[in-house]
Amino acid sequence: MNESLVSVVAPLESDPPEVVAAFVEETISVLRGLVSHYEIILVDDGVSEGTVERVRALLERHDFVRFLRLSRHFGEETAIAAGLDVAIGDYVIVMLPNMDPPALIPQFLEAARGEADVVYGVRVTRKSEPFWYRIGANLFYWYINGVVRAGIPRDSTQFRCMSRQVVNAITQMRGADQYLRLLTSYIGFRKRAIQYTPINRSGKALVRPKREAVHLARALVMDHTTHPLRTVSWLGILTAVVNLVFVANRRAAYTTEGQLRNAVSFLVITVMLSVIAEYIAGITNRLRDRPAYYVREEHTSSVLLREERKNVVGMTS
Amino acid sequence: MGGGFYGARLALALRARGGRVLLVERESHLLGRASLRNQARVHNGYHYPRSILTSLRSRLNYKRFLSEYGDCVYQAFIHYYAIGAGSKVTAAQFAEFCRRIGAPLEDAPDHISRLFDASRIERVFEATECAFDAVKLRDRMTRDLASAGVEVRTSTEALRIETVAESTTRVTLQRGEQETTVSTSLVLNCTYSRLNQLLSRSRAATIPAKLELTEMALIEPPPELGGAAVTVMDGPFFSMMPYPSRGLYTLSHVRYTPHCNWHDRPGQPIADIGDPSRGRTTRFLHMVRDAERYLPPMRASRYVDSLWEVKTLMPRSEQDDSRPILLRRSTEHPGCLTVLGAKIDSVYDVEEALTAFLKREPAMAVA
Repeated sequence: MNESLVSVVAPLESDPPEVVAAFVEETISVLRGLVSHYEIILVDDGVSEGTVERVRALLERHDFVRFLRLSRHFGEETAIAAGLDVAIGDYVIVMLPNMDPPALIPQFLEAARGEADVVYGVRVTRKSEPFWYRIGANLFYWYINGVVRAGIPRDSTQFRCMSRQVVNAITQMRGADQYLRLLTSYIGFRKRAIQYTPINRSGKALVRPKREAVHLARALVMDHTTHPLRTVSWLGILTAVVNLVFVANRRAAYTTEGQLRNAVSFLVITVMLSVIAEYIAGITNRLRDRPAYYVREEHTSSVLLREERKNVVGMTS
Repeated sequence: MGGGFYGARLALALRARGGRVLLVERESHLLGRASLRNQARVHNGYHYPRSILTSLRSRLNYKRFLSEYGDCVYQAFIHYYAIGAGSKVTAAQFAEFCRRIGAPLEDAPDHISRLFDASRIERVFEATECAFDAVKLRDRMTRDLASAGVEVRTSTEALRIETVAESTTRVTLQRGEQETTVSTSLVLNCTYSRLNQLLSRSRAATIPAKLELTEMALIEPPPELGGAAVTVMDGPFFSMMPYPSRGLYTLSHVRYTPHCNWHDRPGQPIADIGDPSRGRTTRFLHMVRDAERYLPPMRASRYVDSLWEVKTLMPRSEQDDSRPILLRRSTEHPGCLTVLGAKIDSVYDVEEALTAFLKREPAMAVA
């Protein structure tokens, strides 16, 4: 147990330099007291120049920090996948620097060393979020857990700790989108939830932009299930039957009622087509079979110890 | 100055041209630092799939090295080259590359290929290479120097050089507390990791070099590999090779072997790493955890010790694998030449360059 290595993977996107620095320093001080060997993998998913500079400075001060720079912004899930691909730890912990508290690492790790293979964080409350977001979240969890039973734990976050076995299972599955929350539910293994209250280092609102939230919900559903396809198929058949019944009753086609019927049918057909189109788009993306991301460069720590900095007499001329 | 393999070879070369030659070494033995630690690293060309020129040169030098120092060969061993999936070079490219440089290559047997993780390794090749015993090489060089009549002073450090007359350079040597001076027409600075120390103390412009503090782990390899060497390439790769003089294997990893690096910039003070291992802890666990993702049996390898060294690289060579040699005459002290080559067998290229230089400057050849 003493000879195990812990990896921390953190995707960086809009995180300001001081958030990243505080996160790295805090994480290192927690890990130092906890394990003999560790690494922190910061994945650059399109951070600002200021943050890049700050991370480079961190590499000169702290050992075992790796900085994986992706070629462009690929999104949080892909950045995490890139980090998991290169992580070498016996346990891998995924964290978002802005909201996940390093102080909880010991608790996650202990649970992972004990009875669970995947330990994931669940936020205690969503009260800080706007009303519309909570409605959306409720709707999403009702559908994905209540209707299609995907088993995505309610209010689970990216904060998680996985054993090497689980990481290997996940990195061997290469989908077009890699949603860790879906993958961990798909692969099974023993899971455990840990409740926590996210912190907020940057002080900015923690809520995802509306568009991104809707996109994520849509992608999670479509990645997991074909249930919407079947639902619209039944809806289509139902509308067609209703139409047929009305026509058989010889109601006039050119009355207002007839026009309403036409409009409803058209709406249903359009909905069907758009759902099908979404799935076709999904298939197309997958058929392209392109790498999910590209790595521009990787940097590792280069720490000169204090006593090594002593200088030899330079040129005085 | 500097009794490594380079210093010893060049001393012999100068002696063969006539004149008196003095070889000065800081450690108590010749070939005690980088030459000892990189002992097995005479490559047969396989390591540089992105630079055909470097490979061809390494193959030629390898043959020459083998014919000259055949008595120092410890043994021939099997070397498995595993090509990582998604690496910078594909298996087909690697096979084609080896065919072009005329390096024999076969597919590794099934029971070996199966040891690798199929999702991370595209294909495994097999080649045969030789390991050199650094202790035998040291004895051989010591004998050669003695019979050629080169004076050798060990445990002696070259403190500084001064130009006293147009073709006379004075070197101050230190042995213990005692300082002595010698005068000469030509000083070769072959101190590898301490090139700039000598230049800096002599108030001369330093070489713009990148230095790297490196660690190779000495391990007992997993038994499944049957004593073979393994290199996983290209990209972040690792290499496990026999280290005959200790009966162990070295494990090096592109990401973890360099602990830190820094630059010596002309006109600026330079860092002095005394004992490179001081204050450092081994990264063996990191190396082996990454290695076992590609080759799971590596988990069973056992850590014994580490070899620490400061390497001097030329920044220019960062672009590709072809590492040029450096032979630079000091402007402040025209009687001093600084010599650097990244690989042990580049010494042949250095010798050629030195011969060409002495042809242009015949006055310096006579001691």
